[in-house]
Amino acid sequence: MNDSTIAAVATPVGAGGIGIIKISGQNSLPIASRIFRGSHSSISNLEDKDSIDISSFKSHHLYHGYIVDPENSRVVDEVLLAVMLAPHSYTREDVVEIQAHSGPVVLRFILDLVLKCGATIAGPGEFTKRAYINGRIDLTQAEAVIDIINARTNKSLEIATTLIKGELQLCIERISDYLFNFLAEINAAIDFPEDVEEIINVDRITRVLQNNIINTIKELIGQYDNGHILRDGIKLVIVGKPNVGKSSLMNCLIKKERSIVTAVPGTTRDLIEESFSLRGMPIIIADTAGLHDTDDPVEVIGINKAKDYIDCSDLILFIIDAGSILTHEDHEIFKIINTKNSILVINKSDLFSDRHEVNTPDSWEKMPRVEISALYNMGLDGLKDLIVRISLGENSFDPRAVIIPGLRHKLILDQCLISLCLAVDGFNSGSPLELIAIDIQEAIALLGEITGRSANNDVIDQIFSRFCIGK
Amino acid sequence: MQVNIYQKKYDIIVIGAGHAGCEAALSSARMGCSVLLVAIDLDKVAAMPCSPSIGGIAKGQLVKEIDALGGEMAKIADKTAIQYRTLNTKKGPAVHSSRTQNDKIRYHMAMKAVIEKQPNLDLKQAMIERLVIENGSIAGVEDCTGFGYQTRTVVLATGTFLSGLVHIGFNSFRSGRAGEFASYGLPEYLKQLGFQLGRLKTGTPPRLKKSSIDFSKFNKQDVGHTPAPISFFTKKINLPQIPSYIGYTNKKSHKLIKDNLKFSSLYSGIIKGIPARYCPSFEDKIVRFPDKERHQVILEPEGLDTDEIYASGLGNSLPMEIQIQFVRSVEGLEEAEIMRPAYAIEYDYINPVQIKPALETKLISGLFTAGQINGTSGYEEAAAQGIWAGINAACKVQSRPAFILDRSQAYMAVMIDDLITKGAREPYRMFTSRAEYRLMLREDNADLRLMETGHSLGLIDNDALKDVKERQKMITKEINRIKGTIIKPSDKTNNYLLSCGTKPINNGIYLDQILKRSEIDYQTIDALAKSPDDINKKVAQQVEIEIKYEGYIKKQLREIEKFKNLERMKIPKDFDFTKVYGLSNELKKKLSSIRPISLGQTSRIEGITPSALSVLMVAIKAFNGRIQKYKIAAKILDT
Repeated sequence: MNDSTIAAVATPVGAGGIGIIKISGQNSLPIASRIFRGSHSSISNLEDKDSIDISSFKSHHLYHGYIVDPENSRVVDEVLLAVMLAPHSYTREDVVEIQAHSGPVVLRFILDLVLKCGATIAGPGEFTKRAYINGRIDLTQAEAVIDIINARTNKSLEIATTLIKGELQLCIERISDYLFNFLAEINAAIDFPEDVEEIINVDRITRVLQNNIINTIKELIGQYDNGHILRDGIKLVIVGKPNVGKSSLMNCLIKKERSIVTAVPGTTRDLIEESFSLRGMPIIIADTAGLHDTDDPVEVIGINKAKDYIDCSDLILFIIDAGSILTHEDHEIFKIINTKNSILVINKSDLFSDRHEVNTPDSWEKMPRVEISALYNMGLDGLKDLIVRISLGENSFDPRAVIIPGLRHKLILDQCLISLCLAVDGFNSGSPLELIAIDIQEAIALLGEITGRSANNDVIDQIFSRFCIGK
Repeated sequence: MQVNIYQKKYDIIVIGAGHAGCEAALSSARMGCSVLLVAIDLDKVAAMPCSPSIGGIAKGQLVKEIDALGGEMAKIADKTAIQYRTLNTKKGPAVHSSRTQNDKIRYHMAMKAVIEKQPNLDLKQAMIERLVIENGSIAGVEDCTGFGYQTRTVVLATGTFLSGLVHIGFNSFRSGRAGEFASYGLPEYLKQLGFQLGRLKTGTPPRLKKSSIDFSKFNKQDVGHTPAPISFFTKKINLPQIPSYIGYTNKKSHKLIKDNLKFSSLYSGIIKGIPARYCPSFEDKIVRFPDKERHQVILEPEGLDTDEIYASGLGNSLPMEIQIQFVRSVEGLEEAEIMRPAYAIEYDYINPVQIKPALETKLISGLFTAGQINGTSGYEEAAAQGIWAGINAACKVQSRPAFILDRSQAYMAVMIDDLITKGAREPYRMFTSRAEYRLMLREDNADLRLMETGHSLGLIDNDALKDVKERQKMITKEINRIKGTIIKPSDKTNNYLLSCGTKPINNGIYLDQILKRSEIDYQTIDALAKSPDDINKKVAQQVEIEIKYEGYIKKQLREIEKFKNLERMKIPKDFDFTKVYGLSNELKKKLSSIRPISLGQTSRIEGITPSALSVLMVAIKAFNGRIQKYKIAAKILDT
């Protein structure tokens, strides 16, 4: 039962400066080894394909290093990692804890990597359940453990009654009913070929599978990817050449001092991520290293990181200095962000009483622009309006109209999609029906994990209620 | 002092000599127990009171499993078959099923002969009315004359005989089958012992006189070209093969039934027993599917030496005068003479949640049940339970561990787990869709799956085991060869592939990749790269299936692994479900009555959710922990 390795973000989203990802199970060390690079390897070695084996780590010691995406060797975050070997851990299994920067995007990305490497996402109360089953928690606490399991389940049920989750539930149940009907048809054709000859209409089933079911699931998965705006917030990146006021702008928006703001260009060498709420919308904002040509290896890393970050952001605040003419660097930055959603932020407008227009090339006209003074806290309301309007689109945005699956749901839907595509392939290539039934059965079981419905649904009942069966 | 008691003391007494009783008696006697098989009428041993046929979809799998465990059904079916068919050939090998049409008198005679020749086995005619219980265990049985037999275990295989009531229209007769005595004493006694009895209904269609039928109005049914024996041990098929005929009812037949529903025992409210949905009486078909314009009728021969024809599809519970009109409404049956009328029958059964996995009752130690008494229907379902109960009764007598297969091993295990976990609300029949690991539970691998088990029980001889083991070795070897052989593109190869209707190859390719193509069979790839060994048909078949369905087989094996993990989590015998904190009262009640033996079994109970399963897991852990604590405490106190 407990031979799987589970993982989850163990800290509440958005709270605190550090987020912890917890992995428990017999494969937790090999999994973490695949994505962790110790800081003792020199920076150039970070790109090495060879991972280090964390099983050599001392139990209950913190190690500094980086989380790296094993597919492209990109550094995801700088972290502290601790190994807690069985039985001296909460679950009494091998546990790895990764302390990362707590931005929800980063945490989700790291969790995604862990899951990709073979962990499964932890169910409600599962760490506690394992701790209990493995004898970590005293027997008298059994009832408390049960309360946790029930409480988590009830809570998700509670959430399910709200509109957003309820819609998802309904949608999945509808798909599940369809599939169950197909399964009944297939089984009727197998078990009662003489009673229900030719009931399997392959064209109809594949059409419904493809057009209705598979497409709906793809949409749901797509909505997960878009849905992170509501769940995890909009990802904003501030870019601009050095010393145009990026850090000052960020501080204005989040209303606190975070980046070291100086007049020396290149001060912000690392990526700084903060989250705040703008008119009720969660925003993650990143202040990047100034994008400029440099030979300083540390700065190069910061700049590369900024470019990566731009790639996966939702909206870019491109800041230029109203007081100086556009330079080669400004044009280079524009090239980088050209394809992204951007706002041109013209800073230090207070220095010009005559408020003359900044001279920008025609190609920049597509960017909405706003003038501010980060220093004097001016023009910020206009900027905020613009951010909200662009992020949510011109139409009034009703989050309840969109069905957004969570990560656990999304992962299940991914698997479900594979099974259903196999089923369609099977129909198209004339596979035996009993094989197609396996794929459909699998998809139904997976969807059951979302709805919490037991998979004990009786397909035989379904057959008898729909077909005339008898000797 | 009791004098009216038989001096010989049996290990096992089997009550009822139908398909369950015969297998139970034979298997236990062959395992070395002294066995008594009692029947109300010795001329009805292994009778076929309904369709004279063995096998069918999912049932064929059961028969092959019985055969692989050393049972008799498949052998007798082969000896008496007058028609062979393989069903579902348009689908994959997992759901191919064998079916024979049998000479029902020869079937009865052949089975009776085997039983009479079996050492350790006595066959006697008697009607058992009472069980003798001592200290909660079975000790003997008593017949209707008060004569007693002593035993250590009993297998009840009473079929439709417990309070059997036959209905034709408004007429009802106390009868175990039409024209036979029913047992009204035994069910009363079972109730007194505390068993909860339910009532089921089944029925059988009319038998028609062959010479009164106009067969030109029917279509001859396709019969298998080369009959393949059902039993792994049958070498030759002896009897001539004769076909069945297919026709249809019509609007006239349907109107007649609709107009006369009020005379049907089923629809007039006389019958209280629950019928099977898959085997509807004609009245049901008309009521439930009023839009259907015709229903199939199959005319099946009942034997070589009889003119009786079984009219499959025309089952009903109507009075004779309406039955005659109904039968004659069918095209080709205008002149038909009914030799035996259709009838419905109600009988008592024990809801099988009162039974343990070994088919022993929870209430009385040493009392086993098999067949229709457990709420099933069908000869094959009965026989499978018969061999299971017989083996387990023998294991109990010989103090051996119970014989229990799991759902990943056999259809019979699926059936028994379903029965004891979910109970039977209607007569239970086997379907392939009941088996979640259907791809693994094929007819073609029943011997590979089960013969070794049969051998360890002493029911399969050494030669058969050796044969299976050598075949298994050969299959593995050949699969490895195919997976390790590379075929390089050449004109010769590609021309050959094209001639086989498949794509040519551009690069070197492993032989198994070619075999995986749906249009390619083993012979084709064997011709491409011949095996150094002599590969017989049976080996080739397994190799082909294993390679073609490799991906799905792996999938099922992974599912089976998950399933076994939950099966391994046992629930202690004295675990109190009502004390589990966090379970709903409804579930507490349900679990207390079913008393599942493992978390796996629990997961299959209706209404169990994943969180209820988690809660139970924790509670069991706590329970075991407490026991451990007490044991340690007791140890400390002892010293």
